Amino acid sequence: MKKASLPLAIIAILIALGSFFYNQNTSKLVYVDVNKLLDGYKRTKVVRAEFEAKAKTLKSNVDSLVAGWQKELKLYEKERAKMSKKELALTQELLGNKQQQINNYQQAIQQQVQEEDKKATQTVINDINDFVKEYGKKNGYPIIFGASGSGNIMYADEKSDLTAKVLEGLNAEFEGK
Amino acid sequence: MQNLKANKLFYVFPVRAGILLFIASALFSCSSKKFDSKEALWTYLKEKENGYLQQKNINGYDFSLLYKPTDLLVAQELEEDASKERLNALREKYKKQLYFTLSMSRNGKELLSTTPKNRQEFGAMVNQLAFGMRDKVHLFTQKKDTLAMLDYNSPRMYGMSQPTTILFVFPRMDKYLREEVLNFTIQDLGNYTGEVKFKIQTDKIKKEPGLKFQN
Repeated sequence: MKKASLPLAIIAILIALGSFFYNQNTSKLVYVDVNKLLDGYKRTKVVRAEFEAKAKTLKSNVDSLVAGWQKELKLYEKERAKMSKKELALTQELLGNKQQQINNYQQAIQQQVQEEDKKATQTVINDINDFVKEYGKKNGYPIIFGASGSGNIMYADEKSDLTAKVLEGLNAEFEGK
Repeated sequence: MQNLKANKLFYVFPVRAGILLFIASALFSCSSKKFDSKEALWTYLKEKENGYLQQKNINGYDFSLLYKPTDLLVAQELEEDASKERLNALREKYKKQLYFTLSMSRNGKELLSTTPKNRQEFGAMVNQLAFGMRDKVHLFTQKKDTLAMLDYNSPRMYGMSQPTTILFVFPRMDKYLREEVLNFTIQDLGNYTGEVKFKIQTDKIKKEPGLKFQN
């Protein structure tokens, strides 16, 4: 019986230590800085670059249309003195219609750019949300707060800040490591 | 002497029992579950804890991804009085692919009824769902190796079904199943959800549940 008591005692100590560390981990209130995650996540830069390339193409379409219209306007101003009353009215109407069309197109493009921006941002947010959820589950955190710098977390000890660890894991996952 | 024997027994017995228990549990965990009926298998698959169904809600849109095991597809095609040869042939045919069902809805209604704001957008979405999903859905490993989509089927339900449901088929390749997870992504379909990702545990695919066929 005496011999059995030693292994039993060791097992009891191990269980106690295990539960101590487990409880210490799970009872912690931790947080991540969402802005830092968004800035530091490597996919943000990739998605942003893709978005900017798309937006540039869309805007350059508008610019070339506007340039064409301005050229026509200059030509009209140059030659208006030679035009008859009927020609003048017709050219004015044509230029007016074209301007309206360009304005509509410009608005549509602006909307499309905003939509693309929204989609790109949401993609990055989805990744971060998924990773933080998985990280919390894996490491046994009952809750992970998201600080965004607008006052939702006024003070937290540095030890409660998981941002660096989460960012490291997030980037490693993105890079397929 | 007797005391020593008793002590030896005290140590040896739990060790042997532990080893046996470990072997038994290892064997049990390696075997896949078998079900008597399709209904029982469906019930098991639809339990999120079992890992075959994953769900997400992003910006009001519900996404769910279900892995369909081989036997479920076999049962769909197998006649009632089919022979064992026929069963084996069908299993051989379907086990070469991975089948996933993706469902998407908003407020319990299919995408075509809720997302397009005008006739043009409606037409574009019909086109996207019917012909353009190869560009929008991807399955790849953590190291970014892509499994090329073999086929997909997106039936028009004309508002009769609650979610928009699409069946995707990918090749089952052992080298990719050796990785821990596969990533299933759906790019934005004009609903501002961004890219939506599901992580599929390959262990679940390797140990997929089956059906006990009566033949």
